[in-house]
Amino acid sequence: MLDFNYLKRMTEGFMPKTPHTALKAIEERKVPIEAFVYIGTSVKPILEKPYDMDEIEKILGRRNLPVETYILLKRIFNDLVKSPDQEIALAAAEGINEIENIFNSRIEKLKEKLEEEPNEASYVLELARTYYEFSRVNRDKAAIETFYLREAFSYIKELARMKGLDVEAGKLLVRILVALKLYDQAFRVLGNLKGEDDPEVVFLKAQVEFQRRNLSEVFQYCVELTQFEGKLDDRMKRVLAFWIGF
Amino acid sequence: MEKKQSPFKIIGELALFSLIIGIINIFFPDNPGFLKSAFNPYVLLSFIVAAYYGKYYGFLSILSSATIVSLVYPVIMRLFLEGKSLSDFWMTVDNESIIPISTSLIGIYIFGLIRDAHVSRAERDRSRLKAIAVDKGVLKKEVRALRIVNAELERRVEGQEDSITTIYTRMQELQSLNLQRALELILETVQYFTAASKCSIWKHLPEEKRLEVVETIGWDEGMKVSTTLPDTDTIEGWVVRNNTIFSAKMLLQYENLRDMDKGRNLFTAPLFAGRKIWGIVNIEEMPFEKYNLYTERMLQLIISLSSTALEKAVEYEKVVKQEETNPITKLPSFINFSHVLENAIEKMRYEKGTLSVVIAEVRNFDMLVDQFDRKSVLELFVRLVDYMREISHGLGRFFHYKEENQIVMLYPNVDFDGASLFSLDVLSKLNDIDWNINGNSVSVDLILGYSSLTEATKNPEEILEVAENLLEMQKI
Repeated sequence: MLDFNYLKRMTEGFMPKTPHTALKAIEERKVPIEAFVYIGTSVKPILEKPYDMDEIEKILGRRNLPVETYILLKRIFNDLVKSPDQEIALAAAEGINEIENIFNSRIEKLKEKLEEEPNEASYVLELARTYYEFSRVNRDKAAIETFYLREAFSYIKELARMKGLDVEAGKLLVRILVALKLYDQAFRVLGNLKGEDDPEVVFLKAQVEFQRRNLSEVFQYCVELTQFEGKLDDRMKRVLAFWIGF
Repeated sequence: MEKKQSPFKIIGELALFSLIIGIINIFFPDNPGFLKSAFNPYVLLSFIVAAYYGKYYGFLSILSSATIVSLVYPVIMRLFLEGKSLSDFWMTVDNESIIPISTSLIGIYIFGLIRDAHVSRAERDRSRLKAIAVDKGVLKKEVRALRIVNAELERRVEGQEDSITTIYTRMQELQSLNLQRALELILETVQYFTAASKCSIWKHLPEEKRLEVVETIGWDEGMKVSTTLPDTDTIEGWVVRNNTIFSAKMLLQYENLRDMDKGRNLFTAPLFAGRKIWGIVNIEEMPFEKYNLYTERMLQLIISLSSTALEKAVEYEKVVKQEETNPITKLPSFINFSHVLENAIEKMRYEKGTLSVVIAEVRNFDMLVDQFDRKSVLELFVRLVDYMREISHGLGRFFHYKEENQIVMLYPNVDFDGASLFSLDVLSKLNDIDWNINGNSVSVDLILGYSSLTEATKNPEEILEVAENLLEMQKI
């Protein structure tokens, strides 16, 4: 358990100014770990204006961030690109470029692997998934988003040709079709998908019916989802609470 | 860790072992000090001691054995072994002791050296292990701290979309007084928190019994023509008339809503300007997982928080439409300010609130106009107003004042001290700004005068007089 006493004694002795110096000071036993935790977490939320470029760049510098974080960063950079300060606008443009490079290099690596082992289905699925995620990062640009969704779709088709659609690939295909607003096709794919014991499949069915505005069907799928009580994640629970008070 | 033995204890041990060997030696009277045997226990003892405790204890061991043999042994002989001559004993010692003693001295030295080498290596390893243990402790602490920080940062980054600071920042931006910008921001905020891909704001025109679209996101260009809807027989109209939020789920329960449904409403909520319904926000498309109670609550929260800003923007829009505004700064004129100040004073008296005015004057205005052109210099006021609005957290309302080089800010809910602090803040922050006209760096000589509503204030002129006096004092 961390101790608040550090904060009360902060005026005494050496006081680190940055997380890096705090960490060094812990190594030298000059300060307790509370010093690092306090400084390390005393950061401004990245969405708060004016934006803190150092903080944003620090987060972007971390590899393998979740796609939601890339979407968030892209949103900030899109805002900053319009900044009257040319230096900030340029840094933001570089940030967008960096995000695109991350996804492009992932795609390139997967393509290289696929060239070496053309029959490896896992690479094809991973490529489709990466294109899908890349499309989500670009959802502010409809044409680019659609382009990447179509790329993802073509790899899923390739996968289906190689070994048929398993549940994982099927779920990804449904998400791609929903993003492309091809709801009827998505519904047909779900109809052929095995995965009766997978709550995600039922949730996707509810999602597709919601987009098709078949609200009574959505309600039925929500009732069906209650059978998976222990397997539901928070996102599903929120939806169920709203629809059927589960 | 190995415990270090006391030297006295070691010496005691050596004496004891030598004594034991000496006692055994009594049973071999013809072989004093085992000097005649190839195997000599005294020598062996000294080797073992040297190997175990070091060469100095080894020497001590042989000394102790020699003492026992030369001093104790003759006494024992005399007392218990009759018939044994002491001269025989000394002769044996004399003749036979050279080889065992020299062997033991060399052996002790060699075993001692080997032992010392081992000990110093062990010492080195021990210090290394100690350092590693210390480092490990530090690393454990660091890892613990890093884990805590990492978890906090990840939570903060990924939880951004729901954060209070995000909604606060967005609401602050709403205070721009520009109605169109306010509506854009409200809709952007709604989109942000609901992930809606298609949404719109409709203004209610009660006299005409219809709603008119004023802001959209995600609409096709073809649709973005002036679209109107009747305020009866539509879900949008039902929301306005009943002051109730509509959720698509309600279609499962209410037949009258099903009859009105045209498939364009998922969430429809009344939009307020102050306490009056001004229009509606409609969400037409959104991800299924975002269609939940939390999103509905967020929508209500955004609408509630934006009502005050929207009221001001609507009021300001009316003023701007009625009165002449400066074509460059887009600020209303002084005449307009007089009306607004009169109304604001009346309102504040009724609400028992506070009100301040801040007059800003650019002293080197004429000089700048001579150097550049009037339009470019007036454009400086746009930036100045933006900064002052930001510092006032969007609460200030701006107008041109009596002279062309003056603007005035109406600052509600702030007293004299607050106006004074605000002025200091403005002056200190504006000093840091790099002002430029057409790319040329210029210096802006700004002075501020301020005043506040007091109980003694009888009319608007009095409050302005105090501020003007303060301004004049700075020119002396």
